Amino acid sequence: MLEVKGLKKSFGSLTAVDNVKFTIEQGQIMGLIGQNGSGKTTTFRLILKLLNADEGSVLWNGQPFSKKFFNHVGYLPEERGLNQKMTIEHQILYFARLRGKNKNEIEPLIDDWLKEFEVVGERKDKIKSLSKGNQQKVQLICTLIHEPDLIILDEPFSGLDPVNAGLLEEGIRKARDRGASIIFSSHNMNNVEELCDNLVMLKDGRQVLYGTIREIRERFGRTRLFLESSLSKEEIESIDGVKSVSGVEEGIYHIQLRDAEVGHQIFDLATQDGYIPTFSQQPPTIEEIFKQIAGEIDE
Amino acid sequence: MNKLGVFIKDTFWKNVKSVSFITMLLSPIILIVIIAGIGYFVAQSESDIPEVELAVISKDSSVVPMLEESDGNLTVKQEITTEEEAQAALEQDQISGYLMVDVDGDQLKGSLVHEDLNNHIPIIEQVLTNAQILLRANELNLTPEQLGSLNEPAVLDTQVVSIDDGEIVEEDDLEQGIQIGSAYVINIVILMFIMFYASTVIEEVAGEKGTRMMEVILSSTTATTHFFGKLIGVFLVMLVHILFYIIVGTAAFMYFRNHELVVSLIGDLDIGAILVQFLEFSSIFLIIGVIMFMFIAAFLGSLITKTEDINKAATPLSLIVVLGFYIGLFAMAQPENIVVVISSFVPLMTPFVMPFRIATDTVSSLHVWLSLGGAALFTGLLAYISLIFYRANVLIYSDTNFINTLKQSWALVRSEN
Repeated sequence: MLEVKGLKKSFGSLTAVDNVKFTIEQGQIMGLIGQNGSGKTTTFRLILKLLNADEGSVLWNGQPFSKKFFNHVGYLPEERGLNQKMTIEHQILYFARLRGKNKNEIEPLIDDWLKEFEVVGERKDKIKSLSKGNQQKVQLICTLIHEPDLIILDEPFSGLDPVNAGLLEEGIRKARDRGASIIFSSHNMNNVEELCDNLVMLKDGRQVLYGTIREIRERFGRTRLFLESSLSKEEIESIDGVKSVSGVEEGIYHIQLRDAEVGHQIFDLATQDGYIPTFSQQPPTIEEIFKQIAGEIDE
Repeated sequence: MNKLGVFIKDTFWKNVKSVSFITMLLSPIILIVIIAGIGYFVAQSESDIPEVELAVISKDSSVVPMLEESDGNLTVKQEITTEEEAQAALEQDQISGYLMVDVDGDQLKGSLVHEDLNNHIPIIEQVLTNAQILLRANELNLTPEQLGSLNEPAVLDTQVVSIDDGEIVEEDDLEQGIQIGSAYVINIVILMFIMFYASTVIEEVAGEKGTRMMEVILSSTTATTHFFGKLIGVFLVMLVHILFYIIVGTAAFMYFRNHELVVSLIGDLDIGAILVQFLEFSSIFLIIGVIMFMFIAAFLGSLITKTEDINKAATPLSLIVVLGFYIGLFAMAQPENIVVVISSFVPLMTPFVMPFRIATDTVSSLHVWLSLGGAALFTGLLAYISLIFYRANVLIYSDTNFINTLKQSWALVRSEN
């Protein structure tokens, strides 16, 4: 279990991370979202002791995180890279040995992992002979092959096509199922909603959201309404508490509510003549929440 | 497996197997073999003076035997006794030339008609001179003993000395020659070793930073482990390098020890003892120099953000090394020059300059130790500073220039402490 407690880090006058705190249980996946420069990478570096925090602490299974836990870590940094001159096998073994594994433990596993991630290339091939996507998959294998208990992935989905992203999701789920604590950052909110149990959002280094996906969405209220009815756009807009109405076509509306309670009123109005095909009142998606909170920066 | 061991092992094997190392290792040997080969062939062709036949028409009977004795490649065709016969023989290419010797009182006059006998002329001249001395000694009624005592050269004893701590110390000029020669070799060796191993370190460090592997590595182990793992790995490669030369050098010495050229050069001098005494200091300077520049190289390498910039990082280092090398050469000519004296105490220059001052005996042992101490202390300081920056440097990937990277790094260093 990873416990992050009140981390703070300043670079000169800039506070990069301020009072960030969260917990990742065994077998849980945490998503870390935030705009560029919001402090995600710094948070990861603070957890891994690549940087020293000004305040706060990081606990791993109740003990302060230190280099003695390095062998349990799998880390995929945002800045990717492999030694182009090494062979796939040598590269994987090099990193695995640095995680305290023996050559003999890892060598038999390599072929299975290459197959699982559908890497196009043989283990004796040089890294430079691989395409960028395949190199990225080799790096993912390097991050996961030693079966780490704490997995930190900085933007793991960037640069992957949907098929490869699916393979990665599968890999992450497998690691979760064997009990690893996982945290990853992403710009793709679909990945986050699909994979994560919990979510943290950073804005200017401060933690603005923390909770399960469901909790967070519910917290914002069911302010999105999909409606298919005979009501006209003007009729809906005239209801007090309706923020905006956009229609895909006549009779199908996407309504933003100022207040979730207004949903009742719209439901009654729309169903006064009986059956309607669609009335779906939902909380905002993570993407909408993200945009909303990020937008507040400028306001 | 110990992680320091992983870095050492990986760095060591990667470099020992690299083409550039093997080229570096073998090039001096190949060079020596080529030079020795050329020298051998030149010497061969020189000693390969063809046997020639010469006719001598001499009124002095001592000339012919003396001539045959002095020049092994020359035979006197005794059947020819007149100028006409000689001329005819020359025309028919039976002889290569003829020498006419006339005696006029106590004066010997020779005239040589020849076809390409230039190589023999000095000997012929010497023989004629000796014959004339003999002639005159006879006229003066000198006994052979008297003649011998006249020819005996005066004695000049030479003794090279050096002043060490106000005391006159005897020196062997051959010994000093060997020392100066060795200082030259050492200076070139130091230059080559520093350049090669510093750039190896830069490549190792910048390679792992430039390829963005460093962050993963630093989440596996500490920066200090990585730093020393890389340096020790490269250092071991250098030890293999030196060991290889020692083995090859010793083997060559053993093999050629009894070769006449070597024997004539060193005589009964204990060359081993002189070299050991000299190499003692030089090897310390070599090792300190390489370590010092390896730390600088690691520091510079960690500033790199892209592998393409490796040469940029090496530039400041090369400038210092080349400066040191030239001051070293200058020290050879003017070991007492103030620039030389001062720079021999500047830690970065010490490895280049001090060996020459030792070789020319212009420095006391105390000063040698002082400069060594200074260099060692400076090396420690460099290691400390490099290490502090190293941790910060490797996390910075700005595309800006060196100075900016350094500034950012310094800001990061301060925020960490």
